[in-house]
Amino acid sequence: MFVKHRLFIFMGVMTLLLMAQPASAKEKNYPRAKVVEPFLEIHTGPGRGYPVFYIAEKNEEIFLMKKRTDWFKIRLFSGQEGWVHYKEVDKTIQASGYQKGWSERFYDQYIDGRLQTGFAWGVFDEDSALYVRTIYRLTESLSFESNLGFASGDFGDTNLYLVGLVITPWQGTWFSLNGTIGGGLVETRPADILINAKSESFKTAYAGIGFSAPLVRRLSLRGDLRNYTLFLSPKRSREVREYTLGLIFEF
Amino acid sequence: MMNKKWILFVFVCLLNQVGMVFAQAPNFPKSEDPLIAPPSERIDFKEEKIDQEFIEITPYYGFYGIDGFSTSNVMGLNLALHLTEDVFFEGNYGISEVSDDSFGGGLTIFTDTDLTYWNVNLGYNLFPGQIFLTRNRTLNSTIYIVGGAGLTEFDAKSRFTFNFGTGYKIFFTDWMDAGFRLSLHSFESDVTGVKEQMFNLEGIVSVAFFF
Repeated sequence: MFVKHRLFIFMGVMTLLLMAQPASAKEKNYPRAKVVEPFLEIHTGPGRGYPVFYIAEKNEEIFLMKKRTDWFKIRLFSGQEGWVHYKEVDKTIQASGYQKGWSERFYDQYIDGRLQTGFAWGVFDEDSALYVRTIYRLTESLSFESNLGFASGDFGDTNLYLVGLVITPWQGTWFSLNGTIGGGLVETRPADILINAKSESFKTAYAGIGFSAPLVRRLSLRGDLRNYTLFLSPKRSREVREYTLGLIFEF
Repeated sequence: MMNKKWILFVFVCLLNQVGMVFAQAPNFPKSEDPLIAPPSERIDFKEEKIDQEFIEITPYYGFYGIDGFSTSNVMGLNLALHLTEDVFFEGNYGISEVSDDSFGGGLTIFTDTDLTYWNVNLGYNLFPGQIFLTRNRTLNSTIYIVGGAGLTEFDAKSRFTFNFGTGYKIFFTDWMDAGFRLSLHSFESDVTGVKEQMFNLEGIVSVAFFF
């Protein structure tokens, strides 16, 4: 009986000891760096609105635990944990032998400033519509874009699947002008009130003009006016007008 | 003889001075010592070793009140991509139901009592900050606003819907938070026979996880 008690006590003490260990074993797995700037401001959360609660001194060791948006979560040797902006910790990281991985190299080479995504609200053939957009900038003045659109009206719903090119002949500080051409598929699903109507899909081509205006860092406003030609049958086509206003985020 | 003694004395004094000068001379670094110490010990590591957490998954539960009709429970899922510390994109999918009991007299006007919606929103962390549980124990928190559009499947018909709302979140750890949100969903409806703009209030509580 006593042996059993001792075993339990031993196990309990061991568990407590393991729990009480200040994760020093874990720290070995985190990338380590030494502060090279005179000081490093540590915030309580990943944002400039969260207060600075600690300042790490030059030559103090830090462990890089994780990253969220532009912020690193770090742990100091003393056990203090907090968040620092990447710009603050950049020199420290570079001096510590930081190597960019494939995902970061891929980002620098192909994504940074080139990929944009966003959504837009609009009117397609007098129906309210919602669009999800992805744009990839090929050159300064030429971009590739894909559009998924959902329009909903009294006589049914319309889905749009579109790809196209955006040409930006003029770019200013406050706004730029663009032209778009492209094509895709338009699917219509008639409402129940229409008897004998069935779902159909048509090929379409479009051309339009638009503008883009930067609002804040990485976010811009974009408006478009487009004219669609729906190829209903080999001999019949229909023109549809579309207006959209949306937000575009640049990665 | 006297002169010789004086010369010896002066010579010894000079020797002493020269010795002192040499004794005070700084220790010049040996050739193998680096003149400037490297700024930091180099420990090569790659970016992949740092865990990236910017996707937030939020299951939620609450109420969805249909303008002029009933209020029912709603449950759904929210997926958010945090693009910067301020801005996030999010998508929502929610399921609720509609009942026409409040219309009275056992009258049934809905062809379908299910209500589902999805939307895409842009969100902005308006007031990031902290709450003080005790004098020394704090938790991070944020007040945010969202707005966007989507479709609501209501009375067997999908309707273009605008929504905007505001919410409050408290972070228990850096990867888990809990909060609540109030939002207004607005779409055009003709269920009563007259076209009208509906304003449906939704209130939810949620627990979120960062990945």
